[in-house]
Amino acid sequence: MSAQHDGRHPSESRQELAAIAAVEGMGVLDPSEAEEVDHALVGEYEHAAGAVFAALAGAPRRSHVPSSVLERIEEAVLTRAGASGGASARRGLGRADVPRSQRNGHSSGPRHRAGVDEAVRESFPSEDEAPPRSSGLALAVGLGGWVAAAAAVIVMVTTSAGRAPVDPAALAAELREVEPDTQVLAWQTEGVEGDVTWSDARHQGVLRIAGLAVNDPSVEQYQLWIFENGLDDLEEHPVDGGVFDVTSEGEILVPIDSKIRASRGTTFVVTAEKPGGVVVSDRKRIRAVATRA
Amino acid sequence: MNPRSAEETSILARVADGDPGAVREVLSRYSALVWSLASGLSKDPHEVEDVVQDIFVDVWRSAKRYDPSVASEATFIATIARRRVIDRRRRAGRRVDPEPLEEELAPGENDPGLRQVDLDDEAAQAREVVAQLSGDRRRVLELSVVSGLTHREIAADTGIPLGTVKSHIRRGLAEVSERLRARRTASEEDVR
Repeated sequence: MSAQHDGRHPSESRQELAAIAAVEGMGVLDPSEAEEVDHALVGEYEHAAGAVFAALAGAPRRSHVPSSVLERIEEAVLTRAGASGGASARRGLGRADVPRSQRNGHSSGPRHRAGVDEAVRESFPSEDEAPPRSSGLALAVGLGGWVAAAAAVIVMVTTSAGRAPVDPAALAAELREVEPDTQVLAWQTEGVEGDVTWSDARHQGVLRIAGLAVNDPSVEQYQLWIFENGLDDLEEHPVDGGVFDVTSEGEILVPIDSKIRASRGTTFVVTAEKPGGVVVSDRKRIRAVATRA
Repeated sequence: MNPRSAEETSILARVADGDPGAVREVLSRYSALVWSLASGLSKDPHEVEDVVQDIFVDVWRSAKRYDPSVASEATFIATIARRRVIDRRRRAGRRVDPEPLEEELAPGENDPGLRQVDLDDEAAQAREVVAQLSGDRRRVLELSVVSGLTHREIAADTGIPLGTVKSHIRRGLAEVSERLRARRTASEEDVR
């Protein structure tokens, strides 16, 4: 319930903060603003923006989607949603899973980079599992991307050193604000959205990620790996970036909890591993890849 | 809640429950709306199809978060669509072009699928509010919400002071939000 629903009237500055976060994402706020912002109001304003978008960006005349296109979309939704664990509708990875614009050699606009997952897997070959889908796209998201505050789930991680829990939203904003070397790398695995904010100077970072299936921690957990090298030369022993869980669908923020200091973060890979994580991943279950090289 | 919104809620609830059959119904009802929203991104129908696909996957994954007391189903889906479209635009470094596609995706008026793109009540309310805004405020809101420009980019492009840009965005969204909230309250009272 928003402040307005409570009968209070948020100050103009708080409204302004919420409005900017609603249309541009939480990533544009500095750490103090991120702490201050009314997330319920952000959600309310984002829905208002959605209504405005529907009112102004929709085609002025009516349009219709051909049935053949609808069939492809339906197949893709069933496949991708099923693959994410969001439904019992998995049909396997079929043609519909390939972005339409990548078929028939067609190409236009931004694309996920083909084969990033395969490149990671091949650096530690395994034949047990078909590669997840990947398709292509640009590396950096200049604006820090979308963080739908009302929807984002923040995964508070107590670090292995027993330090106080880290607020990942504040950490990401701080890194972008004060560390000039901070890089924001978009995930390049299709179906996975978000990015990695990482500073080599601070050896710290934050994952912003959506599209991973909710996991049962008693069965498996997600584990982050930090590689110093690019996809063409991935090292055999990357730095363990920590284990985390996805407890609900939608976007989550995860502070990177590396057990040892990664001198340089070039490629970031999320794998699914046994509970508690592993020391050496067999790289069979790659769930997300982001790289700057 | 009016009869139509009650019907819509049941569809997203089924999506949230993972009912595969609900996908077709959601597509039947909202595909044209989503397509029209995504079509401003590119004149290439293949790229638009990619985005539409992504949007519906997001809808499927986010359905559990849908709260009919906060937004209509169409607004909920349009919000997801906006995020996706603007995200793509930013990555590509280009603006959303609201001009619709002109090619094969324009059937005759008798097509039964056409009714699905009737403007949702909330979108119609939003349009009314926006139409009543002053010229500068309306322009700033369009650049922010539809074109996806940041407030800094808007200030640079238009020459409007940064503080004024932020004020326009705040006031515009607050007015739309207020109108939508009032309408939901009135609808709930009508039902009682």
